[in-house]
Amino acid sequence: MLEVVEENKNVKILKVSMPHEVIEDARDEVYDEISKDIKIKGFRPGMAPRNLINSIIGMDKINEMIKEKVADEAYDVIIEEYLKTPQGDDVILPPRLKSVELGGNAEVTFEIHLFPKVEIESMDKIEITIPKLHNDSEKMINDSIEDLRKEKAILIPKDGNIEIGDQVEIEYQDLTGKDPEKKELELKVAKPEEGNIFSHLVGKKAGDEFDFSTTAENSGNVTHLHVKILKVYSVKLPEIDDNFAKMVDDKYETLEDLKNNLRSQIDKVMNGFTESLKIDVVLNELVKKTKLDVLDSTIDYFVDYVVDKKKEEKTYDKELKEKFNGDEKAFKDSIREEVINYMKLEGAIKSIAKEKSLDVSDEEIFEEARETYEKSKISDERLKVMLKKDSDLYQSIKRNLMSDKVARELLKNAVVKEEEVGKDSQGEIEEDENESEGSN
Amino acid sequence: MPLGDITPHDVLIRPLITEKALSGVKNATYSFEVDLRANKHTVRNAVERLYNVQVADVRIMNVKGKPKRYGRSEGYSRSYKKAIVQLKEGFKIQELEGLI
Repeated sequence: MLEVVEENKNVKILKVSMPHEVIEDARDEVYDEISKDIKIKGFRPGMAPRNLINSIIGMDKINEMIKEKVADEAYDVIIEEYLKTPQGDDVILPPRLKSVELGGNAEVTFEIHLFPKVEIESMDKIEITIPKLHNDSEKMINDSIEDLRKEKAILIPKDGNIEIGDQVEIEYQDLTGKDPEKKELELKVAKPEEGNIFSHLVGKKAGDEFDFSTTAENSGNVTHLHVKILKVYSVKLPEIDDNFAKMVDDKYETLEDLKNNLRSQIDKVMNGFTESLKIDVVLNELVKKTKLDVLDSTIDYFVDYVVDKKKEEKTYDKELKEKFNGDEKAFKDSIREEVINYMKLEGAIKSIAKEKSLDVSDEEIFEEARETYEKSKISDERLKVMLKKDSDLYQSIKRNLMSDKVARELLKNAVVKEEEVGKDSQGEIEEDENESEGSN
Repeated sequence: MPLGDITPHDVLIRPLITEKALSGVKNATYSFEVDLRANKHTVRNAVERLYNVQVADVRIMNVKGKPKRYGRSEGYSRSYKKAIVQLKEGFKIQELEGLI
């Protein structure tokens, strides 16, 4: 039986009462486990009497083990009767065990931390400022076309001397004896500054051979190589005309078709980027305008929980050293701030979603998951099973979709301003963009 | 073998607590390791005086040491005298009940 025995702000104390049989079952299990593991002279494994085990292991230790078993049973009750019900959606942290009483019946109490109540200042007509992006789409189109030209370049065998820009096929062998096997490599000849080998290649012909040494930048190791030039090609870039557009894809009749397609792709990316910038900024504003009504014990428990997770994943020491120079207090303060901001944001999103009756359907979650896993070529059936089994994945997609919906709702009444940014800030944005591309 | 000044405490060395010994406890049969000089009479006397019970029967046996080998050294585990004490109906040794 499950009952709420105490409630204070966002913390509830739940008591699980279980019949005496649960304690007896737990006791049997504990003695079974111990007697199978323990070796007592004169007794076969599992045959030693309980009183003898008590005198060897100690009653305190045995009671502790029984309490752990009973608490596990009670935890299952909490999961089934609380966390898996709609009430469970409000729980922010795993239930924390408070006490186990083994009297006539077992009584186990847990502390449940719920999302704290939030108070949001008005977000009506809120002004948000995003950096103005310079949409130089013509330059981007030209750059894309140049990349496509290089991709579609024609290689023409060449008898003459190698020049910068040519493509060569070489065979090389390590003379230091570490790896005597001959290997082949294709290279595009660049300026000598970009690699020692290029200064050797320029001016030579197919069939020429030479030795050269190269030093690895990181380790400083010197490698001596013997190189034979197998083939030389001059690279001819196609003319930018309607034929080139057809070469890229049959669906383009003219160069203008290709350019229009590139333009729409670039516009789509830029619009998506602007939209996600607006969402980030409006959610940041939401955090600033939100006040929490939370017990300190929840924040402390949350910080401990995050620290334990980081230690489990073995990232705690690395982050402490790299980001905080070993200052543990500063690290924990930063985690504390992140935790508070997280609770503010999540609380505010929940509150606004409830107020505006926003919801995320299973179909939307499935579509989002399909988009995310598009490159992995996972079948729809498999994806459905994944979403059903992996509740963390399901919840994280649901959370992201909900925060996007709330942000878009807030943006409807927001005043968005675009601000010119200095070169440095623009650089930062581009860097962020590259990072996010890299992480994808 | 002369007994000299042997006391009841010297006769009973330790109760034997093994699976087999404990299987007899429910029938008020207890096993002890006893002094090599002890006999049925001294064991009966010692058990009755120490545990305040009445003994119905005492069986005594010499348990021979078993051959043991520790690496290259060979030998025997120690030999001892075992007494199995059957109490009269209605009696039990309270001190040994807690071990069952």
